[in-house]
Amino acid sequence: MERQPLQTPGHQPENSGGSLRSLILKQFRNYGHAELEFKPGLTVLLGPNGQGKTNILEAVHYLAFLRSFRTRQIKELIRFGADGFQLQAGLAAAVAESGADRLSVTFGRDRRLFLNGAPMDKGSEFINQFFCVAFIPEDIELVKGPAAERRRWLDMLTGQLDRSHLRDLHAYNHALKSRNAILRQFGKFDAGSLDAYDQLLARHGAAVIQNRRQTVGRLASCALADSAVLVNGTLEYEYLPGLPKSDPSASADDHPAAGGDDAPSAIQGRKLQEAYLEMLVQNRSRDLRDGVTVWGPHRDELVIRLSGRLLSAYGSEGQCRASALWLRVASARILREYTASPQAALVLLVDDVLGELDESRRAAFWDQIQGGGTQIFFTCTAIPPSLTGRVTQTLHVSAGVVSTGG
Amino acid sequence: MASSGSYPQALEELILSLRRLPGIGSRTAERLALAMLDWTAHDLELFGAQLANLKKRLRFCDSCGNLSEAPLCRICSDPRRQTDVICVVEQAGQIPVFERAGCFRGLYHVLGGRIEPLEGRGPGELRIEALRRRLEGGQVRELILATSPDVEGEATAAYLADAFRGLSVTISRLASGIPVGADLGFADSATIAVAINARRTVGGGSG
Ligand SMILES: [Zn+2]
Repeated sequence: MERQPLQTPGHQPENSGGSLRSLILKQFRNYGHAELEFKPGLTVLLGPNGQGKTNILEAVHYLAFLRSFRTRQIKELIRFGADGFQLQAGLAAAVAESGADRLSVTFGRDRRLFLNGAPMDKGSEFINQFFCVAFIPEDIELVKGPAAERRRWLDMLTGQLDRSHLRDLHAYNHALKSRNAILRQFGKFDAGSLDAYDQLLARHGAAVIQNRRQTVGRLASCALADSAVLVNGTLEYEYLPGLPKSDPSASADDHPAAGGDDAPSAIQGRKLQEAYLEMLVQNRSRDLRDGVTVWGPHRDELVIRLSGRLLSAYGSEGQCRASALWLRVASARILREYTASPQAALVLLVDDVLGELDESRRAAFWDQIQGGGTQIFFTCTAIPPSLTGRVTQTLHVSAGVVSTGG
Repeated sequence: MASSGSYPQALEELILSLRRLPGIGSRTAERLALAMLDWTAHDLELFGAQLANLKKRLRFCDSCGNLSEAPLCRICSDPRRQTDVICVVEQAGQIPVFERAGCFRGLYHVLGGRIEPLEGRGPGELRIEALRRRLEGGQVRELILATSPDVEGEATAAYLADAFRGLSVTISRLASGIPVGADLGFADSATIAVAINARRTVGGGSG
């Protein structure tokens, strides 16, 4: 069923150029009311700093994921003095996953979602109507930050291709919290309750592990060959599920392990679920003693090495930034390569991440992400030479007002 | 937007009571209360009596835990029902949903909730022992677990399947024609019918 990955740039699959055609922002950040029309291709958002360029990227990101890339505080998105915001997007017809071409979010007392004007209750069904990848300075945390940053990145990417991943992840987290509550109130809850929640944890936990491992496998196959255009050296990725080593001679403590062929990391499907369940039962007395579930995908790690050395420990600032940028390039490739709906719009948001690159690498970056119907929004204070001949539309941003004129 | 103090006290109190109902906001509560002002005194008295008698006349069925006016509910005392199949639901309010679907002719068992560790609700607070006694009576051949398809509902179903594994009862789980995370109370009859007919065995004997 799975298509073979790896396409060389220049051989992008044919794409109808599905894209974001319009965006309306009301009382969002520094925008009172702005209506924007977009052309397919590369749109430059041009203007001095602090005028609201990034806010437009943030609005697009919010429509794609129902979350900002800068804050978890929804209040920060509401214009000062207003009591809510509204965002609306128009997509080129039939490029959305659901077939909808109008998305709308209003956030007042509560959040209301509309697809083609019809209200929608669940955020989990609303998100990912179009594929979106943001390139932002904070991405360096993907490389230098704690494992949770890489898990979140893996989960967002995996969830874009497979909605069921986010359902499994949500169910896993809920079952994990529930099991921990049982561990702390054992007596009120019997062993049968623990057995029951163990089954739920194994079902959803095994699915989460399997999905994440698949995405890392795609990352490795998609992204190895061309990363050299941005990063000096070879990038390698290793997925380490948060499961104990199966080797009994290994210490049962603390370090999640990769393991050999019969380790939980290498097995799939029902067998993984069974091994997972057995692992929970084996660790039950320890979990009961500590009042917390020790092992599971909440401890997964994605190890990134550059030419054999752990990037987060040994990489320079420049190497880490370039590698983080590459992770986003690879995300876009994986979405394009593995989507079940080739019509889907792919929208890239590029904000202030090219500072460390020299001109030739900047050109290489644009070569990597442009074409194949991909729509790109790029913020800058002046159009750099590397963009010559690539721009299809320039919008001038000044104090919350967007204009097409120069 | 709020109604604080803008109406006479009698009306204000009624609005506050109505607001306690699920799905009723302050605006709707005001509209309902004002509409009742147009009712005749007789209709209002009747309505008041209905409310006053609600808990006096209603009790729980001794056998299945359904709402009832007699010791046995209408379903348990209906001689035409199949007595060898029991459908386990979380709340009595879910029984009418299955009844409207019209394709289930067996009996029910109301658990009175589900195992919810995050709410501190353990299996001891559910009517599980009453269900065990019914199963040990020997008449029941099949148990259908119709708990909701979210984490707690699935865990409760797994708990029951394990608890009754030793009995010679076939245990099945509703197939998920029901949207994940959906409230059974809102599922339409066609969906319920599909879910019942496509249930899958999750454990138990086959005798
Ligand atoms: Zn009854």
